[in-house]
Amino acid sequence: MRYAMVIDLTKCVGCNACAVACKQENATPPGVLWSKVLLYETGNYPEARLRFLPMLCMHCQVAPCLEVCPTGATFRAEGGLVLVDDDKCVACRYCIMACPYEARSYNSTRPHAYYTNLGLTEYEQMGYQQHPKGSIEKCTFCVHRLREGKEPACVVTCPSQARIFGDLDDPKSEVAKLVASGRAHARLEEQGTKPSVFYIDQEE
Amino acid sequence: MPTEHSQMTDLASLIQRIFNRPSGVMTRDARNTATPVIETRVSACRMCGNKAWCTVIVTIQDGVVVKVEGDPSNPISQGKLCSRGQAAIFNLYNPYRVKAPMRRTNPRKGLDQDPGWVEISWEEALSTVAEKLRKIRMNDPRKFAHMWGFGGDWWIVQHEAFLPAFGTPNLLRSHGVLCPVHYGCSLVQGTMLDKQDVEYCQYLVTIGGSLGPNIGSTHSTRALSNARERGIKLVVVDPRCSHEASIAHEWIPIRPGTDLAFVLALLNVIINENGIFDERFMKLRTNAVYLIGEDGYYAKDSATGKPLIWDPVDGIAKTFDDATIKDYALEGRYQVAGRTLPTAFTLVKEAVRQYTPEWAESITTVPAATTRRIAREFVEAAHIGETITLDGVVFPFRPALVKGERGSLGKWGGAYEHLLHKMLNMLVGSLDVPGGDLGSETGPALKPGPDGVVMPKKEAVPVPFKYPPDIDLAQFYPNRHTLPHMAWKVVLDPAKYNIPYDLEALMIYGGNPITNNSNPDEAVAALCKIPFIVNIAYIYDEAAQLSDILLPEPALLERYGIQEVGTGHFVQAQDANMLQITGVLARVPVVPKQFQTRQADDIYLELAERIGFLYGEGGLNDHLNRFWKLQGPHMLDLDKRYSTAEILDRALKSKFGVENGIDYFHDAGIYYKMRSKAEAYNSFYYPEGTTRYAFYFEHLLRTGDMLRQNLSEHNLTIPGQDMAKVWGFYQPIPRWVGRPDAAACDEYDLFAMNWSTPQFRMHNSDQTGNPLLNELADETDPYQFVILMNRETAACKGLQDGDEVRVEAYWGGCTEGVLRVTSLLHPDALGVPGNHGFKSSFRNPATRKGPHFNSLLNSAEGTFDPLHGGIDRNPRVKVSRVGGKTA
Repeated sequence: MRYAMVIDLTKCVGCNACAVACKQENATPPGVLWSKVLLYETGNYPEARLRFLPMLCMHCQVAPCLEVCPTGATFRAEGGLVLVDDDKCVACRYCIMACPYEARSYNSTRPHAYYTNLGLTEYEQMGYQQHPKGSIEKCTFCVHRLREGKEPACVVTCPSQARIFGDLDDPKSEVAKLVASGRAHARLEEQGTKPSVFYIDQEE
Repeated sequence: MPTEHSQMTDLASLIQRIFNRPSGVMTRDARNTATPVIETRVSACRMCGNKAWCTVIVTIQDGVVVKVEGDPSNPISQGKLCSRGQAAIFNLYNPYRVKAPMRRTNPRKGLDQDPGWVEISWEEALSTVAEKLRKIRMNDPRKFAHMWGFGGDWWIVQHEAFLPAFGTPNLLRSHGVLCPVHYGCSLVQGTMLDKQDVEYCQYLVTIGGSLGPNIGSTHSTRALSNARERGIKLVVVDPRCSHEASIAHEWIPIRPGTDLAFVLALLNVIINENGIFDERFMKLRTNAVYLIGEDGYYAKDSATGKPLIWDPVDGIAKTFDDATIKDYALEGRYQVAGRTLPTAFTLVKEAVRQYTPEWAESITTVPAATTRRIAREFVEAAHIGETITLDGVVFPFRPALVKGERGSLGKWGGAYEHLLHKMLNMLVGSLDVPGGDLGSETGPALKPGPDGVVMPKKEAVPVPFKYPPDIDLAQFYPNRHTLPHMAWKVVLDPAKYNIPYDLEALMIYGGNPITNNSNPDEAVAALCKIPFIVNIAYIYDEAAQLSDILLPEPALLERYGIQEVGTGHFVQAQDANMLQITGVLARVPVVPKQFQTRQADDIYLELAERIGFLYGEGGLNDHLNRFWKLQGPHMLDLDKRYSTAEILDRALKSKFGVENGIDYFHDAGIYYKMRSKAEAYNSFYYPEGTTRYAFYFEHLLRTGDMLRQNLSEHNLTIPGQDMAKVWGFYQPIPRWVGRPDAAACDEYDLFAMNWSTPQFRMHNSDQTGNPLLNELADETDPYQFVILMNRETAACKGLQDGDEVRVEAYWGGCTEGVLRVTSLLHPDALGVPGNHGFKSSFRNPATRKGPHFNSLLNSAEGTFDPLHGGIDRNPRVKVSRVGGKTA
C-alpha cells in the first residue's frame, strides 16, 4: 500500500478550491496553507500563459524532513505517509529547511486570529485546538479521512477533477497506471526524494 | 535518530490521538476525552452572484460550524464546491457584521462622517421605518424607492410583490450597469441569458467572458473540464490571457473595448468573402428571407398583414407561412406590387461589407488573417447539415458557437455586439440545438408573434412609456438592464429629468450602489441628499454608512431562501446534467442566529402590516399569491399574517410541487427532476417551421420609432442625450458605433479593463472581507490587488513592477495601486481586477486594500449604450508614477 496523488495540470484551472477544502478540513490558522495552487506566468506576449502549480506535501519515500528530524516527531506511517507527531516536535525547523518542496509550516502556539485584533472566532477557537502546541505541520493526505475510506478533501472538492488519488502499489489503480504510462511525473526527481505526488504536465 | 521501525510502534496511539477523528470534524485538545456532538445539515450556497444550484453539507460540532463542503447528492455540483462556497464559515463568523438594529445620530452624511450608530430595539427600528413610509405612502408613494442587489437575492417575500403593494414604481438595482448581458438573448431567444452546450460543442469562441474557470465556477468548470477531455476547441478572445485563455487552444489578444469591430468582421467574412453558412437554417429558421420595405419594416401582405418572402420557384411573393412555398429567396431584390424589395439578408450582407478584417485590425489589433481563419474554422466546425438523434428526436447537430459576456457586452455598442453574436450563431445554425448557444430558460421561449418571429421577451420587451418617467428613467431607455446611474442623476437634479418630485425615502437590501457601479462620488452625493435611508444590512458597507436605520440580517447559513433550478441563470458552460435538470433549491437555517438579526422577508411582512398594506385585495399577501402562483389550499388567506417559513412552504408545494414543502429541505438541499435530453433544447418545443429567429431586428427599429413618437407627443428629448446618436442605436442592422471617447487626446493611451477572479465574484456575501479568500488571493495570486500592465508598455513608460501608480480616466475618476508588469496583457490594456479598494472606514480593512476599478467608470449621457444602458467598461486612462522603485 502506498498512497499517491496525481495532479493533472492540463485540467487544473488555478481556482484554489482545494486550498480552502484543506484549510477547513484541517482548521489551519492564518498563514498556514498545507495545500495551495500558486499562479505564475510563462513566455512572452502574446505567447505568454498563466500557469498553475499545486503545492502540498509530496510524502516522499526518501524524505529529507524525516532524515533531519532530531526527535523522531516526523515519522513514516501507513501507506507511506509522512506524518508529524506534535508531542515530539520541538519546532527546531530543521525539516522546514530540509524540504525541497517548501511543504512545511510552523503553527504558532497561539495562532493569530483571522480577523486581526478582534480575537478568535468560534470556528477558530474550536479548530485551533487541533494544533495544541507550537509545532511544524503539513499536509497529511487527510489521513483521518483515508482511515474512513474517504479521499483527501482537496481531491473531493476539485471542480476540474484534476486530482486523482489511489494506491501506487496497486497496478490497477488510476494513479499507478498514470505513473507507469509515463504521463505523470514527480517534481525534483533528480533529488532522489521519490515523492508520492505526481503531475501530468501541460504541453508547452 | 530513531529508526522507522520504532516510529511505527507509536503509530497506533498517535493515529488514535491525533488523526482518528471523523472527517470534517475537529479534534478538541488531544487530552480532552469528551465526545463532541456532531451533526451534519444540508444548505444551499449563495457565496457568489451565480444562481448556481450548489448545495452544501454543513458539519456542526457542539453548535459550531466547522466545515462547509460540497453535497454529493446534488447532480449539478456533484460533491464539489468552489473556494468561495467553502469560505462560507467566515460569512457566519464575521465580527464586522451588523449585530443589532442601529440608528444614526450624526445628521451629517458622507463617507468621511461617523454615523454615530446607537443600538436600538427592533420595535423602535420598525416603528420608525413604518411611520416614515406610512406618511410617504399616504402623500405620494412614488417618493419611496427600493434598491436591491445580489446580496439580497433568493427572496421569499419578493420586491415584485412588496413594491406594487406599497404603490411605488421605483424599483432600482444596485448593480447591473457593468453586466448588461441580457438584451441579445431576450430579443433573439426569448430568454434572460444564454448558456453553452458543452456536452456536445466542439468549437467555442468566447469574447470577453468566462465559461466557468475564470471565476472558479464549481459545475461549469467541471463541465468544461469534461468537454476538454472530449476534445472541445476553445478560442478565447480577450485582452488578458485569463485562466481560461491559458488552457485554451488559442488566445487571441484584442485591444480592450473593440470587440464589436472583430465580430462585424467575422460576420462579413462569413457572408461576403466565404459565402458558406447554414443556408437551410437561414431560410427556415430566421427572418433573413423576409422582404423589407423602404421604411425598414417588413413588407407585408396587404390582405393578411403578414410579412412577405419571395418564392423563386414560383417567382412571386408569398406570406412567410404560405403552405405553397417551394423555396425561399435568401438574397436579392424583387418586384412586388411596383416596389423593389430586398430580402433582410441582402440588406445585412450589404451593410456589413465595409467591415473588412483589415479595417477591424486597425481598431482591434487582431491580424486580418486571424479573423479570416477563425471565421473559416467556426463554420467548418459546425457540421452544417448533420443531425443528432436524442431520445428519438432528430435535431440539427451544430457544435460551434460564439459566446460573449460582460467584458464584450458591457459597453457603448454592447447591445449590438450581443445581437451580432446571435447572428454569427444563426449563420452556423447553432441556436437552441445540440452543441450550440442555448437560451437560459427552457420551454416556450421561442413562441413566435404574429409576424412568425420569436416574440421579444424579458428585457427586449420595451418598458411601456409614461410621463413623467420613473426615477431611473426606464421609460427613456426602454430596453435597459438597470439604470441606478440615472436614478442618482435624477435625485440630484429632478427638474432636469422631468421628475416632479423629490425622493424622500430609500430602502436598500443586499446591494452597494457606491462600490459596485460607476461614479461612486455621484452615488454618494445622491444618497446623502435622500432624507431617509433604511438598509437591511449584513455589514457596515458604504451604503450602510450613509443610511439612517440599519436592520441587521442573518448570515447565509442562518436564513431561509429559495431558488429555481434549471433556468440557467448565470450558469455558463453546461453539460447534460445541467441542461436536463429542473427543480428548486431551498435553504432552511442550519444554525441558530448569532445576533439580533431578522430575515429580510420577515422585515417586509412586518413593515407591510405596520404601514397597512399586508392584507386585503391588492395587499402584499395578494401580490405574493400572484408572484408565487399559489393555488388552491396553498393560497394565502388575504387577511392572515404568515411567517416567511410558511410562505416558503406554500411556494414549494404550489409552484414547484414539492409534496412535503419545507420539511423536504431539512434533509436535502435540492428537489429536482430530469427532463429528457430532447426537452433540454428549446428547438424541441419549436422545431423547424414553427418559429423564426430575428436576423434582421425590425423590433429594434420599431422600439426606437415608438420612443421617438412618445417623446415627441410630450415635446421631449432625453435629457442630456444627443438624440441623433441615440437613434443610431435603434437600427435594424447592428453597426459599428465607434467609441464614445474618440475625441480623447493621445495622453490617455491605455484602456482600463476589469475581471472577476476565482476568489472574488460579484461581491455579495462580503467576499472581499472574507479572510480565507483574502488569504488565498494574497498567498497564491500575484495578479490580485494590483494594477496590471504589459511588460513592454511599462518599459516604454519607464515604469517598473512594484511602482505605486495613479490611474486617471479620460472621463474623470481615478484610482491608485501597485503596478504589476506582466506578459499576460495586451499592450494597450490596463488591468484592474476584482472589486477592491473600498472607502468605508467601518468595514473590514481587508476590503480597503488594492485599487478600485469602478472609480474609473463614468455614466454621463453619451458614454453608455442607450439600448441596454451598460456603461463603457474600458475607459481610456493615463498612468503616472506616484511612488516606488523607479528613480
